[in-house]
Amino acid sequence: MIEWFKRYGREIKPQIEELHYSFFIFRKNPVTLVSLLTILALISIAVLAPYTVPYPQSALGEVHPYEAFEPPSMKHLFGTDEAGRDVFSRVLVGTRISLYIGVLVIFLALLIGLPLGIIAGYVGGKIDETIMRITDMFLSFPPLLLALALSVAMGPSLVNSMMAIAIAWWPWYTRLARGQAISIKERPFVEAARAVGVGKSKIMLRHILPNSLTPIVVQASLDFGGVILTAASLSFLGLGAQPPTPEWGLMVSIGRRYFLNSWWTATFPGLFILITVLTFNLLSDGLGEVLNPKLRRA
Amino acid sequence: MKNAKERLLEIKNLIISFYSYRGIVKAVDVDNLVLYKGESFGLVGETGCGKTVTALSILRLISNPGIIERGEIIFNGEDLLKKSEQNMREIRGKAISMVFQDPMSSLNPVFTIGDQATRVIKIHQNVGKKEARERAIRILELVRLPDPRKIMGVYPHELSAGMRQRVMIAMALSCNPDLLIADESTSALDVTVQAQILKLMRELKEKISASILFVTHNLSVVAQTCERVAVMYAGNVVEVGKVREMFKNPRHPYTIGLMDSIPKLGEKAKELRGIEGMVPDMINPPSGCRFHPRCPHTMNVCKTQKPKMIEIEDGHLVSCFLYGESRQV
Amino acid sequence: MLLIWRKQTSMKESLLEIKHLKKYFPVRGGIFSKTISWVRAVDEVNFDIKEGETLGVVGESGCGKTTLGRTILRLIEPTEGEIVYQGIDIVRLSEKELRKLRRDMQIVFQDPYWSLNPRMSVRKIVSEPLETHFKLDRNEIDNRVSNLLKLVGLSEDAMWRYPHEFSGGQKQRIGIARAIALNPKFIVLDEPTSALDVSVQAKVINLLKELQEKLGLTYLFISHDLSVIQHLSDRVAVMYLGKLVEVSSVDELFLRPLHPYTQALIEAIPVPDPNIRKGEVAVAGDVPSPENPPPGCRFHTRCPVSTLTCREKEPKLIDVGDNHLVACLLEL
Repeated sequence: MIEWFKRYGREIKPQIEELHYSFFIFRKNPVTLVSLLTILALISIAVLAPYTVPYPQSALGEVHPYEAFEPPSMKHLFGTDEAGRDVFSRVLVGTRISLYIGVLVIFLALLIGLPLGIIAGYVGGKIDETIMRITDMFLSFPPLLLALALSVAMGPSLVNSMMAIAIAWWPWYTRLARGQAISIKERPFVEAARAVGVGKSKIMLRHILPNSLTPIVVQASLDFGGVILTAASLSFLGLGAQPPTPEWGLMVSIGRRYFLNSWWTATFPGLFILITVLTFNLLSDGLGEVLNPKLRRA
Repeated sequence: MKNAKERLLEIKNLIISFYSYRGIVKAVDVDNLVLYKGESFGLVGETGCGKTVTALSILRLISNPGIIERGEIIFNGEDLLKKSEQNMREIRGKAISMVFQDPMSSLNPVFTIGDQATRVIKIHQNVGKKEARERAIRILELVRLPDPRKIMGVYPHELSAGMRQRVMIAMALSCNPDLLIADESTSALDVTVQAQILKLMRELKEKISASILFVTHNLSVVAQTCERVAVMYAGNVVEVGKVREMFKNPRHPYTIGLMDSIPKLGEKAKELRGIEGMVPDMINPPSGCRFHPRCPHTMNVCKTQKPKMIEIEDGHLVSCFLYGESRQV
Repeated sequence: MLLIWRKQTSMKESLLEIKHLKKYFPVRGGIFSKTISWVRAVDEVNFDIKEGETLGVVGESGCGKTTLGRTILRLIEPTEGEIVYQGIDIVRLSEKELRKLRRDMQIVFQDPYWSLNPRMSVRKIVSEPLETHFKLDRNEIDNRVSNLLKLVGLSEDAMWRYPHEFSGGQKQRIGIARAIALNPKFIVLDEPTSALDVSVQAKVINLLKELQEKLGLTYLFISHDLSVIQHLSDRVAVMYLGKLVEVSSVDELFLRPLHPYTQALIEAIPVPDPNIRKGEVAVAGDVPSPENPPPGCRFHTRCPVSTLTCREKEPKLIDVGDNHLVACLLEL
């Protein structure tokens, strides 16, 4: 038992050092530091919100028609919406939904896109051509439009919109992964693996994939914001989350109608969309710096 | 005889550090280094010894995270470290110029050779376009390039590596510098091309009055082209002297170890002897003499005190406790 | 006495026989990426390597030596020719059969930095060959890896670290440990010390020599540095633009270099002796591109003694006595 721990400790020690180094870089740049803290805040909100917001029932759909359109006050920090629900609670619970969407969609997109790209790049030939033709087809559509079309086709719901966005998003990772695979397969350590007799799939898994991740991780963190924005846009158009789900885009969409008299119903969810997307953008910059091998100590 | 020569460059008490995540890399710690006018001088050492950083510091090309902590670099009587950036720009390319290692990335691929050569001339010398072109063609001839007029109109990628390096040398000499720094300028070339470039450098030495500082890891190149040489290890200068003297009689244990490591043609049976140990971590360099952990003749004093540079015979200086204090420099 | 000596050398089996080996790379151009010409990287190369010996292959950039090394291991597929290893032509083998043979033939690369996967621990790097071919449990692998590391002069706990924590020389040692993990018979050494400092190079060369004796290895040592080749090789082959121009024992080559290119190479090496200043450089111009090699003898454009015939006829590699082969019309 102790043996196992000792061994495991030795194996992950370098990873821990890497983490330490990454935090150092983060600390140096004030912008990335702020974005990191903000993301941690958002994650904690997402986790704790349903248990700690003042009016959890607001998020679930309980209505108080007599309390509709109350402006922000001590009782309702962000005011109430058209159904009398506490906007503050709804926005905070919405954080969970948005982050959830981001994680799931990107995960799905990577699941499809990464392997396709790596196989296309490493194996080459006809397989590469086939995969890239399909990828190019998808790439020729602007992602929002494609997601839109797919959502319409699949019917408006949160789950459908997530799938639609994932389908619109995967080709970008394929292209990135393919580029990486092509340059990495020329490296001596890959040739060494071939010389030893390691099979194609093992090479792709152990050698190509781990070394391709850098630009993909940077892109994925950038995309987080983009995906959340797209999901919000779809909900805004009525194609994503349906009422009474406290999804930000949906809240902006409904609030828009009452904006002139009750600005708070649309503004606060919109603000959170802004903060979240901006934060992930800045984070991806910081990550890019961290993962850039030029900064690695020799 | 040495005193008759004028000093061109003198580096005094130069300390350069690099600030990194793991700590401060004490890259260069040079007490004293002198270059005379009109000589070819070799600065030799292995990876990490600080020779390139030292050379770059002469042109004040050290940037973040590197910092020149203190020291004096006296060139033609003036301390370069005290000059403004504006002044330095006037010196670079004109009074001091540099040729780098990789001929492929030192030339801008989107401009013709003629464009790049005339630009250097126009910046530093007040001449018109036509005159600049003529001067450029003349220096291309100087470096033995075939058909210089044609080469003026050619792009870098159309030339071979050897020719590109000649162009770089020509451009470096175009404004009659007092000092030409060649930083590993033949390391990326094939051996037959390298031989041609070294021969060219030797010929140029006869024709021009500039001093040439050869920065290289290759002792043989130094033997072929230089009059004097300084050996660096872990940021320190450990031995300086005339080339003929040094190769016949190396004094510092590191220099001796280095010479023993070189496979020499015709000495097949002799086993190559490397140097024990590894290049030290420059964030925590060894105390006292930085070579002591690897030295076969380490004494107690070597571990605690840093040896001073002493002149053991005319022009031959060593920084090592094995050699008594005859004359402090 | 001479007779007995001759007998002994011929009793040594040829471990590897290279016959008519060619590797041409297509150059594509035009809108439809048609093949417009060929880079003749390796053009009709023949030689043998006897068991236990070291054959040095020397040449400058574009001569094809690197391609040769990789083609012999079928890391690059040859365009034509036979590679006969212990009697079997490995060019004809299927993927599966080749895989088994990979245990016998390995390679060490030039670039210490990129020859190791930066994301794998040293243990993983060195154990990969073992895990690919054998089913061993964890402890067994730990043992073998630590033995291999000790053999190449590294400490046991190097296993747990990552490549970037090591110096260039140490990285090369790790690469060597990986190459000998499967107990191969034949190793292609592709400029293993060119990227190292001279004092580190000396130690790595000593290590390679030691391992050859201890493990009975046969080496193909590729380098551009003749002085290093001299230290490690028994026989030397000089390559120029894809062809062998001279092959002989190493002593013979330096004593009596016959081909003008060999002479130029030897002349061009800077010697660490300031009293021997190389005066005349025996060869002019730069190495031509292997895409459009000069007609006839490929060296004629730079050769100080070329004649009109050299421009037309291509010389063949012939034995001028004592197993000394030259490809030069002037030797006829």
